[in-house]
Amino acid sequence: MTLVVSGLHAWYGHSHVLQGVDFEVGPGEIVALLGRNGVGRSTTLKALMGDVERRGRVLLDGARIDRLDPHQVVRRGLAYVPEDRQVFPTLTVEQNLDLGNWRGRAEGGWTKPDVLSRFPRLAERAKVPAGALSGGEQQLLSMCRSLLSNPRLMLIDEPTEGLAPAMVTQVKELIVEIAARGCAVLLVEQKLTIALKIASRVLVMVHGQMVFQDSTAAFIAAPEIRRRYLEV
Amino acid sequence: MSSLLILSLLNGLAYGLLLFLLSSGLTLIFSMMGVLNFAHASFYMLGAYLGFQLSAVTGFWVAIIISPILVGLIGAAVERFGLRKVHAQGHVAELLLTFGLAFLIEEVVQLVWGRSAVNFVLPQILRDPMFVLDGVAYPTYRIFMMAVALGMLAVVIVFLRTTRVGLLVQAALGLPRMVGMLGYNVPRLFTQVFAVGSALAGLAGAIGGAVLVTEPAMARELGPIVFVVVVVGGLGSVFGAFVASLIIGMVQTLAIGFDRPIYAMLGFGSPGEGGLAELWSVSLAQIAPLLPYLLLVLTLIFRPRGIAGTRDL
Repeated sequence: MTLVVSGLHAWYGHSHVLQGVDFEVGPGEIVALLGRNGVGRSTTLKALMGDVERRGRVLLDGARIDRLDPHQVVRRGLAYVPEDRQVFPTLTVEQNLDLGNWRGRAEGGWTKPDVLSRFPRLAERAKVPAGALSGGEQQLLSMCRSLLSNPRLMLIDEPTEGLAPAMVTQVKELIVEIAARGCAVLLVEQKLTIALKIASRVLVMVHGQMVFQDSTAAFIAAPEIRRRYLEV
Repeated sequence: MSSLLILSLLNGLAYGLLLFLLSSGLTLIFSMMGVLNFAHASFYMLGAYLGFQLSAVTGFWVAIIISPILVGLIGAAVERFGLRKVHAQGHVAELLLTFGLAFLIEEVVQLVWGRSAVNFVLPQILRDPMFVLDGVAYPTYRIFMMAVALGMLAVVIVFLRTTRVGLLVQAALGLPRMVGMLGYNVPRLFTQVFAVGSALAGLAGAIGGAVLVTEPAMARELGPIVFVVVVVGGLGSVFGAFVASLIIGMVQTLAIGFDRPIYAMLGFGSPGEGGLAELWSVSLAQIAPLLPYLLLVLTLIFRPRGIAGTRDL
């Protein structure tokens, strides 16, 4: 899986949020998308999914996906975990997971028994409405749900926001495992320590444009980038 | 219990169940798509007229099966080629489209079937009395209506709870965008839900048309009440719509069955004439048509999520 994005623009009504974004994500890598609040990180993920008005080229393994509806983008192999988790509150944990797999049948890679055995807490609460779970549990559920479509690239928006430290560790470990099992991850993450620990490459955004793209090591070696674009 | 009370309760139940059949589809459409479908009762009217027309050709029993299917197909076409086109312009455009459609359907119905009521005749077996209570015969037809409505409630609930598409509908009631982000074609799901909702309204028309008179004004008369049911029942709740339908059905029927002036209800003697006497002499039956709307206003003010809604309006 290779994702190549070039000249991506996006709008919210009259607000021109993405102003020509270019970047790539390679197979099985974790790429951290960093930047201050409001620079367009979440919008970048939504634009890739086709959930906002957009223009530009997005190639997934050479095929254009920038004119597809969200459900078609998912069927080409992308998955999206929103910042606010969006679990279906009245459906049970298990029903939420079932809906994650649009194929309707298990097919290689990640399966429901797979994620339930990996997260006993979700297995225990399989018959409980998802709305009754804690924030951290909802985050895990939301990630597992998207994972069951066995995507090639996962877009994850702020997964550790507002979570207790123990949960943060679990989320972090899951992301590492997702990538290790062959699915690339584009991660929007506010906590720099987490992002730098698990990402192999770093993208930095300012005002709807990419201002830095390089390896994590190169980012760590360039403290002025962090000072200029990330510190408040 | 007096036989009058029993008969009134049965009539209230029959009317309430018919209201439910009509509003269960609208509550799904309104909650899921945010479309305030003014033409919903028009689909009910179409169901009645098509049922009447087809009865002459195929007989009553086949007609009440085919007519809802036809109405469902019309609904699907309205959603696919009308609502979906104006969706990008927002809810006001959708609302105006359904508003116009309601008038359009009424005019078309008048052109085809005329301005006065048509003679929707039931099969003999439904016209026979089911039982006689204190000399009053209770028509089989009303029992049949109740059975159909309860049967449809069971089908809808089992479908929503146990099938995959049912789960998707439930999920899309609250978070339609997320359902799309999981790989499902939400616009197509909308069309399907709209079609099923319209078909349920058509079924209500086909089985209710004979009792409630099949005439061009029937949509206009019942349309507002259906909105009351959806709001009072609560967004996204078929069960809430069920309870609200029964309450409104009972309240309206009982108010007419036990028609008395207000002063008598409160235990006072006749107020004579002059002053506020006329106000005190208003009868319960005169107030009955107001009650659903009073309930609507009170619900919006004091309990915006209705009886069993999943979120506020």
